[in-house]
Amino acid sequence: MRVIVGDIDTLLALGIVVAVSLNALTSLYVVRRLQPTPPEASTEEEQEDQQDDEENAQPGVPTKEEILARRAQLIRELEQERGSRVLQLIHRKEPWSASDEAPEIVLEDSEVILQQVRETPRDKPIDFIIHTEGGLAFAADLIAMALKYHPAKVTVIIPFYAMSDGTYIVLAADEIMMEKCSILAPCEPIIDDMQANLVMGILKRKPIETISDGTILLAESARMETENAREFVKWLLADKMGEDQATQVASFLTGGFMASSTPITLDVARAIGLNVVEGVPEKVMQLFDTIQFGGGKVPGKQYQ
Amino acid sequence: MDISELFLGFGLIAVSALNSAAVIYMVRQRKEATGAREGPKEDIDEDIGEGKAQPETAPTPERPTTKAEILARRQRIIEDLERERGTKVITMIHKKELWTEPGEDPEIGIEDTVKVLMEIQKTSRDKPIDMIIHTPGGYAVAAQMMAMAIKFHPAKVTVMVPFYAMSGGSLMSLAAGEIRMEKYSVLGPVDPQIPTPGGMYPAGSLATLMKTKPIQTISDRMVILAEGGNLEIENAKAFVKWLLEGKMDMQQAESVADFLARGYMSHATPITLDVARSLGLNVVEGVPDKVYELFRTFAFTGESYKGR
Repeated sequence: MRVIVGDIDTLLALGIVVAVSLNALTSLYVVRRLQPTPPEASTEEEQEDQQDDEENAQPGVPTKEEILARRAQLIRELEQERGSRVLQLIHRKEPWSASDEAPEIVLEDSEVILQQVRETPRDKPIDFIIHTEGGLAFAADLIAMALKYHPAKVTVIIPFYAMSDGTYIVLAADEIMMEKCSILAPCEPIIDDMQANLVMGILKRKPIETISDGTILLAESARMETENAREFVKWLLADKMGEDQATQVASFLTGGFMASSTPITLDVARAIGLNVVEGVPEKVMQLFDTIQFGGGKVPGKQYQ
Repeated sequence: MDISELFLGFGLIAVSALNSAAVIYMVRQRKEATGAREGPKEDIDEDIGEGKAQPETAPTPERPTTKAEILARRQRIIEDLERERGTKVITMIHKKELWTEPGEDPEIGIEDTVKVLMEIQKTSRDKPIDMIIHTPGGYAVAAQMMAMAIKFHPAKVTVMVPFYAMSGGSLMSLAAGEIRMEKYSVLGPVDPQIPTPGGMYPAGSLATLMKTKPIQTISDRMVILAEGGNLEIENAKAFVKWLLEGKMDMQQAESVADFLARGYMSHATPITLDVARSLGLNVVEGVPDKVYELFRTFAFTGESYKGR
C-alpha cells in the first residue's frame, strides 16, 4: 500500500513539474514571438505613427536647431574668408517645412533682403547666394534693384540654378560665380502659364475675329509685361556692357526666341557678356551639405 | 484519499496542458492575422512591377524591415560595387518605397538634380562614375542639368539601365560615355511633353494639330501651346545634339537628335539595346549582379504602400 501511495505521489509531482515547465516554455515562446510588435493590438494608423516617429528620430540625423546653427556658422566663416556680407535666397523644402508647395520668391523675401542690404555698410561687398526657381517678378525686381544700387561690389553665387525671375537678381550683380553645370533661364514673363511672346504671337497667326476676347486681353498684358522686363534687363546691364549690347541681351532673354525652360549655361552667360567666374566657394557647397536633399516632403527621392 | 490525490494530479496536468494549448492557439491566430494583412500587398507589388519578376516575399529573419536597415543594406551593396569596379556609384532610382507618401509618384525633380550634382562634384576628376538609373522621367530642366554634369565629368561615366530609363532618364543616358543595359531593358524618346488643358501631349502632336486643322477652328490656347512646343523641340534637339558631340559625327548626331526629340513616335516607345546600338550609342550588354542585388532591397517593404 505504501509503495503504491508513494508511486502516485511521485507521478503527481512529476506531472506537475512537466506541466509547469511546458507552460513556462510556451510562455517564453509567446513572449519571444510578440516582442517585435507591440503586445496590445493597436490600429494600423497608430503603428504607422510610431513608425514615422522612429524614422524621424533616427540617430545621427541632426535636428533643426543643429542644422540652423551649422549653417549660421558656415555663413560666418564664409564672411570672414571673403571679407563680405553673405546674404542668401535659398528656396527648397526643408524637412520641417509644413507646406507641400515648393517655396518661391515672394514679397516677404524682398522685404527681408532689402533690409539686410540696407544694414550692410556702403563699402562692404555683398555675396548673394541664390538657389531658386523664380516666383513673383515684382519681388525679384525689388531685390535686383537693391543689389544694383549697393555701392560696393556685389557677387551672386549660383551653386545650382537661378531660374526665371531669379535671373533678374543675377543680372544685377557685378560678378557671377557659378559651376560649369549651374544654370540660369530666360526671364521672359509668363502669362497664365504661357510665354508672353507666344501669347502676343497669336494675334498675328490667327484671324482676329476667331480669337476670344480673353486671349486678346491676355496678349495685351503680355505685351506690357514683356516691355517692362526688357527695359528692366536693359537698365540692369547698360552700365556693364554698353547700351547696344544691353539692348541685344535684353531682347535675347525676354524676346521669346527660346522655350522658357532652355538652360542658360556658364558658356552662354559668358558669351552674352556677363562677368562670370567659374567655381563656387567650398563653403557654399558645405552650406548645401546641411540641406537634406531628398529628405523632407519628397520621401520617394531617397537614394542610397 | 488515494483517488482524490490522483484526481488532483491529473487535474493540474490537464489545466496546464490546456493553458499551453490556448497560448499556442493564440500565437497561431496572431500569425494568421498579420499574414492576412501582408497578403494583398503581394498583389499590389505585382501590379506595380508590371509583370516584373518579384523575388520571394516570405519574411526571413535577416531581411531588413525598417527604413534605416534598408538604407544601410543599400549602402553596403553600393560600397561593394564601388570596390568591385573601382568607381564612384551614384543612383537615381525612382520606385515606391515603404515610406513613400500616398499619391506620390517618384519621378525626376530638381531635388534629384541637386543631390546628384553634389555627388558628382565631390567625386575626384579622374575617378570613373557608374550611374544607376531607373526612372519614368520627369522635369526636363532637372534632367538636362544632370546630363550636363555627366558630360562634363572628365573621367569615364557609365550609365546602367537594369530595367528602364525613360524620357529624362534617356537624356542622361545619352550623356554617358557608355551605356550598360540588358537585352530587355529600355530607353525612350526624349521629345518634350506639353501640359495642355486636356492633359499632357507631345509637342510633336501639337505641331501636327496645327498642320491638319484650319487655324481659325483651333482654340487660342492650343495655338499658343503649339508654338511653345516648337520651341521646346528646338531646345531638346539642340541639347541632344550637344550631348552626342564627340561621340559620333555631327551629321549623325543631328539625325539621332531629330529621331529622338521630334516626336515621330509615342513617348512610351521602347528604345531597346539593338536600337540604341544602331543609333551609334556605345552600348554594352549586361548589368553587374550587384545592381540587381540593390534592386532586391526595394522588395523589402514588409507593409503595403501607405494609402493603398
